[in-house]
Amino acid sequence: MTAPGSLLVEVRDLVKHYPGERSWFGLGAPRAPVRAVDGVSFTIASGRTLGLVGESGSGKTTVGRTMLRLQEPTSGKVLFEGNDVFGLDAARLRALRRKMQIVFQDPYSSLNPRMTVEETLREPLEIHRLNGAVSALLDEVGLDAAFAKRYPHELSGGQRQRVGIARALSVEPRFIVCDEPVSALDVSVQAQVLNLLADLQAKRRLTYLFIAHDLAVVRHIADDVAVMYLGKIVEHAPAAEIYAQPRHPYTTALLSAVPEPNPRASKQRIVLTGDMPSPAHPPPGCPFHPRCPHPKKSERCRTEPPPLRPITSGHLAACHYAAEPM
Amino acid sequence: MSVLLRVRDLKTYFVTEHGKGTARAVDEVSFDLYPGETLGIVGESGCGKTVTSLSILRLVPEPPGHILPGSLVEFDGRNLLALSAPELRAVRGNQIAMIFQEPMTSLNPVFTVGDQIAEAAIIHQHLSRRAARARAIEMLRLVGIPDPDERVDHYPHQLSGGMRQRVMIAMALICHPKVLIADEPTTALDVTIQAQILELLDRLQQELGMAVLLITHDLGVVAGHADRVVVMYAGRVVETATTEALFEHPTHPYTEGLLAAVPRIDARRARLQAIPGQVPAATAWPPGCRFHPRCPYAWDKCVAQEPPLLETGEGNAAGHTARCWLVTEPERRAPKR
Amino acid sequence: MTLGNWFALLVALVVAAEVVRALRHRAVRQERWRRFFRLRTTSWGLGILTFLLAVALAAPLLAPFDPNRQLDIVHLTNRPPSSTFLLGTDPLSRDVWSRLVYGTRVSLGIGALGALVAVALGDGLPFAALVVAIGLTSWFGTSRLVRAEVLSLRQRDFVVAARALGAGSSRVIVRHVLPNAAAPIIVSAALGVGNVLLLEAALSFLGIGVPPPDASWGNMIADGMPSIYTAPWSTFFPGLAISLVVMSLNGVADGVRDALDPREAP
Repeated sequence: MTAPGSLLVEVRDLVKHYPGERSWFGLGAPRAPVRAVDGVSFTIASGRTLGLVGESGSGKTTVGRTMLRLQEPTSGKVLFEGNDVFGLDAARLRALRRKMQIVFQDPYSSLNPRMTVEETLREPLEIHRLNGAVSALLDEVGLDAAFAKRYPHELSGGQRQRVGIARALSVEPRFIVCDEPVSALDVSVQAQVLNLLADLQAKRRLTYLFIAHDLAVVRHIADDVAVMYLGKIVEHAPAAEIYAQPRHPYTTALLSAVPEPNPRASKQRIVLTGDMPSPAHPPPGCPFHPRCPHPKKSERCRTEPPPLRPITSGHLAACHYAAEPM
Repeated sequence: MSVLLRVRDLKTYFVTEHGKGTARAVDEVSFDLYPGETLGIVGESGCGKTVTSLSILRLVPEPPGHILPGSLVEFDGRNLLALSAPELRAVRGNQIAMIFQEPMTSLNPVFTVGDQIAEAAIIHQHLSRRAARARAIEMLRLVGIPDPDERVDHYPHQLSGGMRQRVMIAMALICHPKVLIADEPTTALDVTIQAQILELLDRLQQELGMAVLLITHDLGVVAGHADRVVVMYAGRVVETATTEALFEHPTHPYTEGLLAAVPRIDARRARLQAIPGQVPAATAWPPGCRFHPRCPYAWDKCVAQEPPLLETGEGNAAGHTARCWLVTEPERRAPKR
Repeated sequence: MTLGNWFALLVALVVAAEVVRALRHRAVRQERWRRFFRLRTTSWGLGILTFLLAVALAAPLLAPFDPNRQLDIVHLTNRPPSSTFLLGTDPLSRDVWSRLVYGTRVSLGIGALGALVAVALGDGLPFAALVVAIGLTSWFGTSRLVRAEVLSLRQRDFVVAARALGAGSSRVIVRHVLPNAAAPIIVSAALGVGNVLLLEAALSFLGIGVPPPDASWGNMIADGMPSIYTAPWSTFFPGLAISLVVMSLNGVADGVRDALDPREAP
């Protein structure tokens, strides 16, 4: 068992490209590959939460699924407790899957509509031949034991999400990829589920990769935050730091775009122009340069890709002008 | 100022399948919309906000939906609910226009965006095709789409989500409506694109002087863009106030709970305050105050009798009302649990 | 028709009614069966199919004449229905009722076999077999539907979740993919049986179906066509039988769909 605070998960230069489809019924030249994840590295210490933030198309979901080897990577490494996840044979991969779990965004698609809650929760116990009680799992996620006999369509979104969490917990994992677990929920229920995830983390000493598009949600759960744009991490820092002093202009813009429930908030809003480019055709140089509002933006940004480098201790940013943030 | 759109006692019910009863989705909803203002309607899923907005233009599918007699939606001195079909069509898309949440499904994939934008102008203003196309290009420019002369001939699948929502807005505004109903216009969009669209709506509202009914679940969007707010819960209006008054003195415990549940970007809270329980089913609203099973202050009166919308007199703001007995017994606002 | 024939027919009817009654009785206790019988058409469809199955099995007891025998080509062609020839005779002086009874065997057999082939093909037989099957049975639609369902289900989060939990592919397919793909496939297969019956009729009409003199509902229609105005019964009754089967299958398919879907409240 890893001691708290020691390294649990390490991702090294992870790349996932989807091959471009061939035009003309498979006879033409293939289109450019979609570079969903393009060289991502980070580590998560035991018992901590890394928030992975990005907009749709940033590659954040692909990172989470590839880490669990639900998709095969193009290249790169993922080490879990020192073991190379991509190098395991089927039997050892199955054993590893007890330790790494996932909770999904869409509570309507994440449960098999033809299985009762009990069947859903019993299945992982059968697979791994574990002795566990469905009622204890339900209790742990705050559901009454009577829910065991229900089908997913008889549950509300929040209740389904609790069942999804219970399913992940059933195999007693150490690490959970939470893939936008509250994005589809109403505000009042979202708070319930966020609190539940925090409680479970404390009680079971879990480690989370918390994938989200909502920086406000991430603030409440993450110890560290990594921001992705077009398949790359553009900023990575302790949460308190990134919210107080973002170093990458994209992070700054993201933070300023979050609508605050305070009519007197007189913050300057930075409204980015244009859309995120296609990951099949990322711009040369800094991937963010076509939309970048940084006043110092220069020719260098258009030609030279900025590496993800430490700006202050523990605060990484991929911007040529990170030392002079907006 | 005179009222532009007056909604009174609007009741829209749905007959459910398999005889599970009648869903009272919208139940005696009343509010006023004044010229040039933005009125936010906030609530979570199932509160009836979308059905309210659809009922205004009678877009609720009937059956299973049914707008009950006694409901009133008054626009320009006429009850829209009593208009004949051709009279109603003359209002739809012309004087009252609507934009929806899903820019992917609200555009027809087999027509160019130019054709779709021009359609309303051809129907309502009887423009020629050529003139309508020119208007469409003008509208695309107005909503900030680059190269409008080219984009006018593009199909929806060639545009990004944000661009499609701009096209939807162009379609809605081509006849210069007096009222724009925006139903979760940015919910499906990324946060940076949401900021673009909200800024665009603000600018267009100022330039064109229309009133906007902004339907949303996002208190942040309301705070930044609405002048007044209507909070809905379980088919009812539970609080109305100016935006400032609502966020400064939230009176209904539901509003209070929602505000406490929102994760804030400006300050990390140790723990979010969740509202316990779930929204009840629309076929079986609780007796008395519909929020009482989830309310931290509820007492026997709340179970026995539903409060009317009461003037709060809070912060000397006129027109701040809440459907809560706490208005008459404020000393009970000490939570029991 | 002899008294024995009438008695056998009565028994077949009683058997069908009893089967339906017994199954409906189970529905009182089991929710799945309750959902199955939610629609009245399902009971009727099931009853009719059971009846036809009984008819096919008991054909020798029900048919008063040899179905292929030309009784009297001079005097007994195109006779209208009577107590001797329940459904009349065809242009070749054969008893329509007897042919219809024996034709049940051929037609139901072809339909059931065809359905199996098509559903199986969806999950990946060699291409050559597929081409042959399309040519023979026109089952392309169902096969494609199976494939599309399976592909779309593989993307669903609950399937990904099962894999993340360490479930092997056989468990994923049996527990997560097939039960969710079953409903549309069964409905399509049931409609497909109807298609095969019609196809067989069309092929027989063109003279390349079930070889004469054996009776199938399809070639009965083909044989009766020349005298459809003077003796409509020899085409009408096999046509009616095909329609009955297609409608019954639709009713049963609706029931199966409801039974498999817990979202359908009984």
